[in-house]
Amino acid sequence: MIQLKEIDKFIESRFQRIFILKGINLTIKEGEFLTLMGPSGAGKSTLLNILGLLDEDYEGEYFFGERNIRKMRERDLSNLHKSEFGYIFQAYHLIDELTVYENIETPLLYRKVSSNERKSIIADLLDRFNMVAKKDLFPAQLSGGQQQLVGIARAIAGRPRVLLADEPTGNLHSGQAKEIMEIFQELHKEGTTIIQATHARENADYGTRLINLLDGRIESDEAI
Amino acid sequence: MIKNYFKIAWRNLQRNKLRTFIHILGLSIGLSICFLIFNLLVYAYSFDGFHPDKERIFRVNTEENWGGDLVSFSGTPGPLGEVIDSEIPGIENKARLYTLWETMVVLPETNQVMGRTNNVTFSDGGFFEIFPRTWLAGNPENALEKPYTVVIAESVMQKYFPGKEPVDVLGRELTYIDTDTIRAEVTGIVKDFKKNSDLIFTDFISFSTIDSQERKEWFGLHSWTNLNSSSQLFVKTTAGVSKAQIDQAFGPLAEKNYKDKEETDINFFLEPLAEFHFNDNYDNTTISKTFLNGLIYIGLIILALATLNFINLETAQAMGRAKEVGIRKSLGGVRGQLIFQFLSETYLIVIGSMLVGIALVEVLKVTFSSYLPVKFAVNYLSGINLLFYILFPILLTALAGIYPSLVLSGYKPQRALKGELSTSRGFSLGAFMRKNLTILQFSSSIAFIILVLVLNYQIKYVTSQPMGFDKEFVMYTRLPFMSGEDRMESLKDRMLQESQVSSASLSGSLVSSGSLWTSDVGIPIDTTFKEFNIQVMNVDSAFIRTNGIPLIAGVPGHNLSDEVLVNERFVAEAGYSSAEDAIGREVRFSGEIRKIVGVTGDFHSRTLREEVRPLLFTINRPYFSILSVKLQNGQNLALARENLDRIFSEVYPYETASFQFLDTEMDKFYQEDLRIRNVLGFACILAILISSMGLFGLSSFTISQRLKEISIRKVLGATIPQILGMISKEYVILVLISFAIAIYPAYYFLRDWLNGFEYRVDMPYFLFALSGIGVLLICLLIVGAHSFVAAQSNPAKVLKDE
Repeated sequence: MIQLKEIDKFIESRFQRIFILKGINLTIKEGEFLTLMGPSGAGKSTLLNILGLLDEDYEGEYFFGERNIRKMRERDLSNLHKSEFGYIFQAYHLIDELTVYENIETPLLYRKVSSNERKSIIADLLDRFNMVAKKDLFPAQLSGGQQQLVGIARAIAGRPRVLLADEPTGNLHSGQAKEIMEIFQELHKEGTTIIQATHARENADYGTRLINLLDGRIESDEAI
Repeated sequence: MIKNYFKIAWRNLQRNKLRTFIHILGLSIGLSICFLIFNLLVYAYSFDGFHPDKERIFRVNTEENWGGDLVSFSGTPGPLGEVIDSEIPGIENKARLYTLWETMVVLPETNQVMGRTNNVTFSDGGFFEIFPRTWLAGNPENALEKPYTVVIAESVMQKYFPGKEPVDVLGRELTYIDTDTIRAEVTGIVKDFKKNSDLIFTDFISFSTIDSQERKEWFGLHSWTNLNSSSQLFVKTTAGVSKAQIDQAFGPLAEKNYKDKEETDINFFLEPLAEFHFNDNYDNTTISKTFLNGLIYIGLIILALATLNFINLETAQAMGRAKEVGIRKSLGGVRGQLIFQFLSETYLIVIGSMLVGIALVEVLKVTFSSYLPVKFAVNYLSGINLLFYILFPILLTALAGIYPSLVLSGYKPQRALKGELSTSRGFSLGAFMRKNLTILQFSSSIAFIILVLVLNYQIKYVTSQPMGFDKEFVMYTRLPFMSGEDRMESLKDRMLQESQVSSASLSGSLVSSGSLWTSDVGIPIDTTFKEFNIQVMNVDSAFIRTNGIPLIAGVPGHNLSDEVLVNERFVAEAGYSSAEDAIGREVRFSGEIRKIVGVTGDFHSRTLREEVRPLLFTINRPYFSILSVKLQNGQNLALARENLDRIFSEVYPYETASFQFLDTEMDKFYQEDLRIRNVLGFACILAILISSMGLFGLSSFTISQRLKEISIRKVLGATIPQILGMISKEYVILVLISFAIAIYPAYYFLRDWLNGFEYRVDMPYFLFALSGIGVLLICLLIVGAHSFVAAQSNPAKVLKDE
């Protein structure tokens, strides 16, 4: 489904190039639950951003299915981005001025989903995460775990095929973290491709494949 | 989607109340001023737009060449009105008016006095053909054919004959008393114009009334050389004939009629109907286009300042919203959608400002009522205003919102989410823009302050200069034109009998006013005459004493017409060795030889814009029109005035008495300048207000950005004054650059304005400096207050949050 060839990402400084990623070759099949691990600065987030089309400033080839991302037009890229990817962030990144309901609604609005369909999708999601009573609250009124649940609901509202999660449990305590990981496992079973970056080894156990990054290179790549 | 945008916009506005307040206040001030000026423009251009074929209607103007100076005015010589349609091709219709001033209207049946009015004119039937009206009674074809007939408007009919039907009024009589008494029969009643019109006349006496040779001479309509602004001539051209064609045809006509008069160089031209309101109308309500344009500039500057403020603050705060941009982009929002979102937020602010701004209009109107036309009113629901409500916010949204929304929507999501926006290295367009916008704002504030201060300085200077006469305790009243020497003398005698009055004088003009009578004088040198231009005043011998003009040599005169008095400037111009030398000299004035019997000191008989001219006092009793009275010192002035008014009413029972102080006439000298100063002053206050608000918002933002830096510096041992100095330095530089930019435009305008005064201050550069320092202080105060609060913050707390 996803194929990266010789991905380099670097910062040009006055005397030398500082590589953040170097020579990354990676193939991800549909339905995989992949975990990226490694110390701070290993390049996990950078790789995730490149995979999620949020960063276009790199060298190398990126194929999504048959299509070469590097050669796509802006409009197609944007459509691909909208239809295939969902994002979950460590800091949740909910829009503070919008309620739970409206936060989940936002990606649907960008996808031009009709009003009735939006209502039923959001109702389903709220139901699934037991958040019906909280739908009119603002992010600041929720606990971290609840905010991340909203973040997940928002990410999967558009039914993406690939879910990208950058340290999804980094700001949560272990109980909440477990809950989130179980939801990921569930989504994986339903067929969603999940790529997560994490520090915590125990989170990798929910997945099917573990990649260790060190200093911008792939150190190891193993199935679990 | 739009609902979502407006929702988030609304919540954003609520959340950041200071920002919303500054935006709405700034924009609403700009908006309300623009709205008012817009309506003023609409009003000014609304006059006489409703006449059929209005683009073919013109007023004939006369242009006279005074040794290179072309002077044009709206009167025409009488004979031109008679021959214009036969000698100039392309004239479909002509209308002749002879306008009267302060005509008394009396009902002859009951001898009831209806008072004086400026709306009476002699008119021929052509006037109603060029400017058709609805006739309520009478025959439009021949109503004004016969002498001693009059057509009146419905409004005055109701005043003269209350409760009567138009048909019943036909055949009734009215008496008009000007310099002449005319009894006329009403032969028609017409409706008043409902829309704005400069054709204010309500009583149209048939032109044939003054068509006799004797009357023509009396009214000065008999010769080509007699120019009189009362004699007005309108024409309607035949379709397809251009103004240029007619203007060209005037040339040969003028040449033919003036060829034997060497000294006069006169021509005529057409003035389009649309220009009346800006040139010369009949109730002195003209608006000069220069003033209107000035207002437009000021309105645009204020609006520009408010817009700059908006742009400035929005881009500064953009970083605070970067996270939202990042999230929205990661959720699939594209740039266009984000731009639209931010624009709709701007639109919401603009609409809010518009509501506040429209509410402010009435406040502005009250504040500036003395500068606005008397009949000016804002019709908030008129079509053009509704259009304004719809289009202007869209325009303003585009102007104010485009740049910030482009900046915001341009953020790269993965960096925006991490909060990395300001590139610390290299050139940042955003910061560069912000600084420049701030500089522009300060420049205009400084320029406005300089203008106001210097205008004020010069006005103070001219009003405090000695005029050369004593205006204290001098009151005057105007007398009806040609009201008879005996009556005038008897009024003067009655005044002199009052114990309050120390002296009284009859004259043709005030000692100092806007009026000017110029002529030339011949000084005999051997067998020829040396000629030069002089100013003339028609006064009696008490004039000098009444107005406290110093007499340097000779006597104040004996009220003899072969004696004249002159001023010192005259003596110098004539080449006499001294004032004493001038006494007894003979000069030729008005074709006759007169003897100089006295020399007065120079005094300002006009504004200080003009130099003191050589002046000659003569006496011409029938043309006296002013009675000036010098009161004893220490009088109760209000009481004295009442008494004078009472005596006046006894002598002139039909006139309204109105004694006034000489000062009130002289206050009019610099009215236009005061008006400019006050309008600029208002603009200045707004500019300062808006710029200060902008700075307030901007500095609160930039300082919160630098809170971490401030904290680290404090940890490293910086004192509060050091921190204040560090932050203020940047703003001092900003103000200095603004000052440099502001100086030249202000200097340029002021140099022009000051050059209009013959007596003026040197360019007061210290006021320039003062303005700069003032703005610097305001600026430091705002920034200082903010940075002081920031410097107080506890570094441990700030740094912990990082």
